[in-house]
Amino acid sequence: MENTFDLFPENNILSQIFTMDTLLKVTRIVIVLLIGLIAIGIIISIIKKISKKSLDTRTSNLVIRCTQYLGIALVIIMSLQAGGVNLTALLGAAGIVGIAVGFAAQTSVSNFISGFFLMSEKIFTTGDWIEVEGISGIVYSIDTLSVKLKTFDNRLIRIPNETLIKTNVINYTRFPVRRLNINIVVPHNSDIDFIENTLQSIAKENAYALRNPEPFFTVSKIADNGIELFFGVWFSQDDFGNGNKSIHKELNKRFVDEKIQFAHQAIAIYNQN
Amino acid sequence: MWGQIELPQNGKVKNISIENFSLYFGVQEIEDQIELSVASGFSSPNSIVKVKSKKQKIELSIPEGSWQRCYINKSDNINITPSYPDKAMFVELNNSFNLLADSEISGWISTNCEVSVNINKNELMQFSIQKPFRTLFGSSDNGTICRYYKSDFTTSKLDKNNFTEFSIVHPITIRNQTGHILNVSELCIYGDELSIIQDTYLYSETIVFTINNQGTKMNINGDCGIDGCNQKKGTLLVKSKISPEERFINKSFELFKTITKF
Repeated sequence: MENTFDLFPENNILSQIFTMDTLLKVTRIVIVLLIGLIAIGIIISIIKKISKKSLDTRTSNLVIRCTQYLGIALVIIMSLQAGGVNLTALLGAAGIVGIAVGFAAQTSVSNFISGFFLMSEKIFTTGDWIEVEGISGIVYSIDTLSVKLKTFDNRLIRIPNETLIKTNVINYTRFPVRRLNINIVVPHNSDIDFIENTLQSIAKENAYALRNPEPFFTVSKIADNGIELFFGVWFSQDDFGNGNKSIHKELNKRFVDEKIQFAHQAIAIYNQN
Repeated sequence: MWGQIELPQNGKVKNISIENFSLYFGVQEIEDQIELSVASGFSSPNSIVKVKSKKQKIELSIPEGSWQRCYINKSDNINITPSYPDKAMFVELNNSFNLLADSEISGWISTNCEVSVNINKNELMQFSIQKPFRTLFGSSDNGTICRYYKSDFTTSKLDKNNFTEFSIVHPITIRNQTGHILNVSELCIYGDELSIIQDTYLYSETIVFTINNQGTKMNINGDCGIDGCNQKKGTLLVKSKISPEERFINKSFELFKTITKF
């Protein structure tokens, strides 16, 4: 192929690479890349605005990520086409590479797909207090492959989406109110009615305890070491911590004042003689 | 009781007692500004105000953490006004009653006001004059946390003996459009939508509850026909946070949403 002007001396290796044709191809690739990336940027900013209003953070992040990946893949294909690369052979090779990568990235794909299931179930959102496999914390971020929890002692824990699909997840803050469950064991000779009245008055005087739903009291069972009582007091999510502390403090104080005893594990040993 | 207050002298504390509730105002002058400290307590502490001459520090038997401080100009006006709590008010009726189908009843209930300390009409802080209790209105999965009050629902004349100067009378009209007998045992009021007017009593606008099979609607009606709550004679102490125009726009938007759903 003859060039109208030569950039490098004839028969030089550089003259074979840097031809006018190559320059045109590179320019075309750069233009396609530029236009493509700008178009992706515009589309993503539009999606961000729309999804902020109509979707939750998790779904919106996932939609944005998918659009980003799809867009970038399209731009790469288009720029290769602009560069005159034969895509048939490349796609064939990509298929084989895809299978190999697919096997290698099984876990990541599984986590990615699990993310979709989690998204459709909507069991938690950023800022919720959840517990997974004994790990408890506030949902810090929800990403494509994992969920990050910030524990109460300020550690960041990454939980793969697959784990969240497979195991039980407890969301403590989903509903506006939560019940504090108190289990008490008192000696067999205790006056249950008096204890019930005492517990009810503790809940009634507590500023954090909700009047409705009413506190719940029941006798769970008569066990070997005493009578097991259950007392449930409702708090708003915001007041749960303070309510828990104040109820337990007041309960202990009132039990001491009213001379109500807690039962302890005891073994009676009888001497036949 | 309500209105502008005079601040104490530099380094001293002023006590304003409201039933068993006390408000304390402490002042420290710093050049052109004043460090205003406000604290509250339910039982009046046997406190003696001490002023350390070197550090100019106010000492009271109130824990240090209870004081809320702010810096104001010497020319700023400080006033106390009644106010509604920031949460919705859930009123459990001492005397629940049945309302016949397609009928309405008018009466009144009362709640206790909060005390707001304002600087140049801007609310600085709010205090409860009684120990505040909370409750849930609605279901445990999507209900609202409200302040809890107990009140009689009375249709007779207002009796001064039933009120303190901190009670707010709420004239109520309940319309039963459900087509069957309705038991009325609790009411939920949104204070943001109500004003506080002072005549013989503190009172709000009339609240109209319309109950039908779709749910309960709360509307505000300015016309209050109760003796002692005369809107013409009364003084407006607190304006509702949501203006009638805003309320109208909200209602129109709700209506629009309902129409477009169909």
